[in-house]
Amino acid sequence: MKKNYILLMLVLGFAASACQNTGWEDDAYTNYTIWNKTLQEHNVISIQELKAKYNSFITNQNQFTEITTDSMLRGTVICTDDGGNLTQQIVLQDGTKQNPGFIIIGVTLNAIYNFIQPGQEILFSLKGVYIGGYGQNAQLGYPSKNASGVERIGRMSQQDFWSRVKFLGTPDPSRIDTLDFDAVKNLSKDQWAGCIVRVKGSITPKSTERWVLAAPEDADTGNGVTNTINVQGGGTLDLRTSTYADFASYPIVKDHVYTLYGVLSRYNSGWQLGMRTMSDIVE
Amino acid sequence: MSKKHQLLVLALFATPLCYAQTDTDTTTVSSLEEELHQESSSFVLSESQLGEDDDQTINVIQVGSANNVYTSNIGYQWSPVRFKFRAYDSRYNDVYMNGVMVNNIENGRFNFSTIGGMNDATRNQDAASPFEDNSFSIANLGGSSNYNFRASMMPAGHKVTLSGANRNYTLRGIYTYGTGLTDKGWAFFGTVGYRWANMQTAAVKGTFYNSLGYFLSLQKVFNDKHSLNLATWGNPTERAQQGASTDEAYWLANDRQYNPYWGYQNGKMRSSRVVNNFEPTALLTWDYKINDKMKLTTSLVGKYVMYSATRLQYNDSQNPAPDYWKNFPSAQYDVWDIENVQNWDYSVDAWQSSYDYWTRSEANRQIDFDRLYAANRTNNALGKDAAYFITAKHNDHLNLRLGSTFDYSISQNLKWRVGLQLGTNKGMHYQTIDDMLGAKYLTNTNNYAVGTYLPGADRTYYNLYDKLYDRPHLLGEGDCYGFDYSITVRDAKAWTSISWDKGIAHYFASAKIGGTEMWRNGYMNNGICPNFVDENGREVKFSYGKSQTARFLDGGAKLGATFNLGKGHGITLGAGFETRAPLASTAFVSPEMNNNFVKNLYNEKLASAEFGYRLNTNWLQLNLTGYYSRTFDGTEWQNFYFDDVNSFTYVSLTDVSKSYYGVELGAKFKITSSFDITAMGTWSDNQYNHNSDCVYMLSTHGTENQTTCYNKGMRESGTPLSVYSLALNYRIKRWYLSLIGNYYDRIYLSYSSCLRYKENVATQVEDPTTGNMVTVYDIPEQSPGKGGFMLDASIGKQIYVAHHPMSINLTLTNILNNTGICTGGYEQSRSNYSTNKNGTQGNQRIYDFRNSYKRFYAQGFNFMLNINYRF
Repeated sequence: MKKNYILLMLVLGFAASACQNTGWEDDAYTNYTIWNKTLQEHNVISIQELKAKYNSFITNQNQFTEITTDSMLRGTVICTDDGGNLTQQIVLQDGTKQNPGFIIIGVTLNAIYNFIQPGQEILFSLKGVYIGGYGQNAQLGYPSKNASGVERIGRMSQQDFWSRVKFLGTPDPSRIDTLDFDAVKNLSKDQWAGCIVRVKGSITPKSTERWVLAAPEDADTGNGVTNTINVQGGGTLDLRTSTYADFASYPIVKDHVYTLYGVLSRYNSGWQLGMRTMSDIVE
Repeated sequence: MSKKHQLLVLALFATPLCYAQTDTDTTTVSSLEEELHQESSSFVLSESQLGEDDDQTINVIQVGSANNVYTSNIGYQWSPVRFKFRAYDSRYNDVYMNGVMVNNIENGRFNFSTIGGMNDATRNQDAASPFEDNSFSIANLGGSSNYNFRASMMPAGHKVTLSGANRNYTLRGIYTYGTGLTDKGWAFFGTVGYRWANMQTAAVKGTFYNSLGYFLSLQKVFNDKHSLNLATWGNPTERAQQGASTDEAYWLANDRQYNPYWGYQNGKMRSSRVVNNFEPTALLTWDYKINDKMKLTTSLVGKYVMYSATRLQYNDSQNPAPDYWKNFPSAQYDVWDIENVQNWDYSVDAWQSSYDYWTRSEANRQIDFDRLYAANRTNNALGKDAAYFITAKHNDHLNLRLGSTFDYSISQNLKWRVGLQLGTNKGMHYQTIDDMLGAKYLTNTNNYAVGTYLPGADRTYYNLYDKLYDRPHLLGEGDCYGFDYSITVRDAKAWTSISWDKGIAHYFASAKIGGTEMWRNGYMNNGICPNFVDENGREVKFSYGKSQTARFLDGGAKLGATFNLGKGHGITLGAGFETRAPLASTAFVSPEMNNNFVKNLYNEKLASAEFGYRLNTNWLQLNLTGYYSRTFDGTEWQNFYFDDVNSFTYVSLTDVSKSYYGVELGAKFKITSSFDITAMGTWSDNQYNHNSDCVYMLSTHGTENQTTCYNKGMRESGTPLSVYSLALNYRIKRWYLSLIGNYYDRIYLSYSSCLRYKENVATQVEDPTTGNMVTVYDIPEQSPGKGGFMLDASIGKQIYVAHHPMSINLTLTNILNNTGICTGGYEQSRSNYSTNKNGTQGNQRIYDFRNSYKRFYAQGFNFMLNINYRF
């Protein structure tokens, strides 16, 4: 009988020692938002207005300044860092199809796309944010200084970013317009840099020894490779690809005409295309 | 069975316990002391601090030879700082149970946590220091111990233990019952214990402890010659781990027990690192007393180890660790070099913002699980793989061992023993998805390799057969992810030992010989290392299928002598040399990926010697020992995330040679019959004798990279190399009081091998005198821990309740609440600059990894109250 005490204790022990690390049901946490619910829409200005006001800081090399007025942007996220080519930034668009505005927001956060989908409309609070230009592309962020002492607009902390953002509704990719490069290439870079375009052409790699988009051996100090798109119908367009892009090793077929999609940005006076994901390359 | 025979058997099997149960004042106080010492053993203290891959209680020392003041006390007295005997890894400490060795054959270590919950069953053990002859083995470099699990050895009666502590666990209850040996020759002993703490009560926030321990032993003594004993035990345990972090994190959290492994999910605390461990074991022992001079002990042990450790993983997303380096204020402003050109007003503001964020609320410095779910919901909408998920790394083992020892007392002064140990172990290593954190998708692909190879390329598949056979490789919870392989090891060892007394001397000589074979069997055809057909048309099983078999023959010998010089003086001498097969856990370059053995894989050689002096008088028991050991041709293995190349990496070090040396002193002064003072101290050192050959493989490439690791002069980590202590022990009227002061010093952190690769330490500079380019080496000093003083005390009292003894023990540790003792940790395997994909040096980082090592600190004031009642 006394031995049975042991068995009884054993059974009781097993019953008492039920797992503690259980019960983490997934559906209980859908109300969570990473963005700031308390933001109220007020003093909304357009991206074009903002860029016009701070034009000298955007177009002059390595200039930036703090936005001190209490105002907001209301726009749609048309590009995230999904794909790893455009890192730690999103592109915001507002306005109309005919008269849009585009601006880059830099955030110290890998994979912003985990939290914002393209087509998401947001409010963005501007007061206290810094604005400047990188290659004359307008960018919101925070000042940075590299090891060489170069000062320029950089990225804001993710805590700062999320405190300034409020999502409006659900993502709607149909809000994103894709334009033909030909239709944009002669328009104002100040206004249209940041739009999503489609372009057809063959690709000439930076080095004809390696027929891939971004071989590490071909990278410049910015860890990127600039190839040339021979635009169908005439002219060329720089194709900028990071060696850290998921599709960096995508093979280029000589003289093959691709249809390419991506963000059309400027690098000072020229255009350049930055593809977002591998699906931006259509054979 | 006659009563005479029963008494004889009892005398043989149960003598020590008889002493323990004798109801005299002295012995009850001794048993109180013993219980206090066992309760203070390290394996109940530091489990939560053990890392995923060294979760084998590496600091436990069981060399407690009762004849030596030093070795019999260090196990409990210095356990709060994870003291390792002579700084040896625990693979140099052998554990036996009823004569069969139970160290894991694959990694050489015994997991003491598997017997942690059954203290009443583990009191009977013989321990032998490295040069002490014994009845069950040739003692290992770090000593050996043999637990006696025979039911007749265990005390009869009931015992209930209740404990409260602010340590790993908060509450403990144990019930024990033993019959002793009955008239019919049966003996039964059983104990069931449960240890518990939840996240609110555990000493380290974010950990919990949930452990059931049971031990059942049944013995039948057939006659005065034969006895059979069957014991079975297990210790199903679920516990959350504590992670090391940087001093900056501890400062920001204002808590040196800050634990980055937990966070909040919907307002509830959740750990990302949970260990589940259950090792049901059965041990069958046959004792055969052939005659008065000969006996044969044979034990067969089988166990099935189920071990898993969870880990939060991220996939093409931000590292979710709250103490990820980019999250720190010092990643914004260089606090180590204020002249850094990147320091300017804006970085001061960024530092302040980061500081404010860390200190604003506790949740800001812990994992935000809700955020991880949110990320996965976004990825679900995009049809993408999970951004965050929790995996469980499994290390299961099926182990069978046979140990047999023949003991022959040839004469009163001459004894001969011969033994055999046979073992086989299949280690099953795989990773499963433990929790998808709300994600719908996860493919079994190597995301470290995406970028180097295109998404969907063969080389990105963890199992290429998924693609070749068009198998769905979308994973769900419970599915295997990343790697799946087994390692089988078989070994056979024979040993013999002879000891004899002549004049003032006692001599022993022992020798052993053994053979080991091992192979890997892969169950995934890794896309980075796929099987292929060679030029002769034969399939080369690079990752899938059975590897080649490696075989090793090893052996060694040990000699020792003790000279009794009279008047209590004595000296001991010992020397030994052995070769030892490499451990299977270090024999493969990257076992998670492929079948390749490490090149230049040789038997490790170990030479050791010891000299000791002892003095035994009425008032003084003193032991002074000096030792020197040297190892050659060793092999070590590590794996970690190597940030410089954005890849997981597997590192093998070969041609490893180390020296260990030091002195140890133990002295017990008997001031009065009830008061004694024990002084102990050790000064030891150990170093790599020369740089090691290194081969490392990246999870993004299938190639092996050869280099040299500049680790000469590095020391063993996570243990103080100097310890000095003084203990005052007082016993009177069933009271036991002790006050112990310990000073610990010279603690080192685990060095990072990759920071010392030749390519990372060697630079070409121009010699100013000759103008020639010369190579200079900038080898980082090994990062330090921090020692300090710790004051401990114990108080015990035995009383009688209803004519049965009840003992009450209270152990107080670190009474002065010295939280500044750093017991261990590791250097981060990252450089102070980013590395471009083409291998060139990228941007200089503001954050300084060389000053930001991850450390563990000793717990502040803690206690354990223990109440035993026997009836």
